[in-house]
Amino acid sequence: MLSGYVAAFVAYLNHGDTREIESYVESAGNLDYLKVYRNGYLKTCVDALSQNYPTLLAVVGNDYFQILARHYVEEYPPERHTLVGYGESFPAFVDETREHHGLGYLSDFARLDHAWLASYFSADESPLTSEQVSQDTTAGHDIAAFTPRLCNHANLVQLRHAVVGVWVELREKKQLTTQIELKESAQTVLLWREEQRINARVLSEAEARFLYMIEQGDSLGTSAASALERDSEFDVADHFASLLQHGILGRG
Amino acid sequence: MPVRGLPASGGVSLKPEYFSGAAALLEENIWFEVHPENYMIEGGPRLKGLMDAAARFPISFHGVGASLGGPTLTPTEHIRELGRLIERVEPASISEHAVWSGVPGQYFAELLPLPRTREAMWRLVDGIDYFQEMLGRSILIENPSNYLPFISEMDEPEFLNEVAKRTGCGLLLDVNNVFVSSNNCGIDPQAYIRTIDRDLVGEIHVAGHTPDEIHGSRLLIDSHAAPVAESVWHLLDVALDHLGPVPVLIERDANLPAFEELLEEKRHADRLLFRACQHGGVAYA
Repeated sequence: MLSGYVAAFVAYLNHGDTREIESYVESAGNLDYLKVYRNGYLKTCVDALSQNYPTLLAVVGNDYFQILARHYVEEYPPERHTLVGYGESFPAFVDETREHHGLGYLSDFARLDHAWLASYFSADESPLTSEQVSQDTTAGHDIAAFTPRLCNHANLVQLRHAVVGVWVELREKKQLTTQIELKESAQTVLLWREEQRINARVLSEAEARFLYMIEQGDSLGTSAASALERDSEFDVADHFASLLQHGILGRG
Repeated sequence: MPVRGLPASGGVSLKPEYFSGAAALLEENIWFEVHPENYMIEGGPRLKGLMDAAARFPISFHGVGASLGGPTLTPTEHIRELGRLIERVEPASISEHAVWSGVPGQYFAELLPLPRTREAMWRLVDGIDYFQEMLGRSILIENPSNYLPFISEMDEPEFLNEVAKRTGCGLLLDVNNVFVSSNNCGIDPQAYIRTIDRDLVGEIHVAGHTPDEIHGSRLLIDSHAAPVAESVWHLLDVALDHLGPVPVLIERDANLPAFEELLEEKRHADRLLFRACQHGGVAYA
């Protein structure tokens, strides 16, 4: 009986179909009250997406976000028994549904929101410091052969539209204060957590190349050479020092 | 692992919005409740806020995701994540719900009712046994809010008393849930409370409820989005009279008020607890 009850309840929650579950309700029960469970399920999931994708919500408005999120929940219901971080594939879903909304830049906002969350919830760790690098150099280690890695809280995001300025403003002020045109122009953004705050910076082509190489495990020397191929005037030492200063690199 | 018990005083729900308020508290006689699922993260400011509070105050983990009465046992990964969090925070109390909330591959994020049949009772017993064994700790389980009556072979207090006795778990009596269930399903809330085995109850919750948008007060929703109603305070008094002084949580999950407003409700609970002590109630050991 219990398995039949659960199956009937699941059918109701997923499709709103009361035909099977009604046989498990006592005669005095009002079947319309079942909606508390179905509405609660859908609302909780949509609310979680609203919290996890606040700038996407601000850009499309609550009504459209509800529609988008509801479709996502129906197609990709939560699997983990927590809604923390729910909606990992939401940016891709927003991209897939582009033919409905016609707004190519929406998934860029979703990608940035997702990266923000990843940085915010990532593990705490002690970053590599300039003092440690100096000590290694003094000890005779070849700095070019050194293979640092990106800290857990540092995330690289590739965008198809130049939305970072708008995204930052929405994140901080919840609404736009000026009208901004969103141009189709690729951007690479670095998000990182510093003193419990999430920062974002648009990277130059050389900076992005340098960090992608580091991320995939290449040495400082190889990464620097690759970045210099993109921009012969790229200041490797200055960029490396800045990464250390902001606690973005860890020991490989 | 050292386990500190919850004091028989008022506690409040701790949300990230209240971290700074909690940090500034001078009041010692308070404890905080969190949903551990919201802290199943690797690190960062939210986890730090909880750890800071846990360093000063007893914490109660009130889980919503274990699906103890579900068709399958609680997913191993969920228990593992909870176990890691327990090691970090060392909560004074761990509680869950006498419900189900998922099937393999889908989590409903909703406390779904169990029919009160012998079969469902045994399923819940198996779920709690496994959960407690995996955590290496006993838990409390909470009575659900009911919105309509499902087929049953026994009353809810009997169902819960039986489950607790068979698993060694304790009970968490949610007085607002009793009130909401009595309103929606037509049961006697005072008789319900007096049928609960007093020796099993380790924690009480009170919260606000809201009338349904369409059905009005005929259908009350356990929203945790409003102050505790006067009728629920009255029912708390009845519960304390029956149980003696037990830790009482002011549970708030939505429409969050200023922290001070929650503390006011906690102080009201403290006054009722003090009165229960004076009337010779039996303290939970």
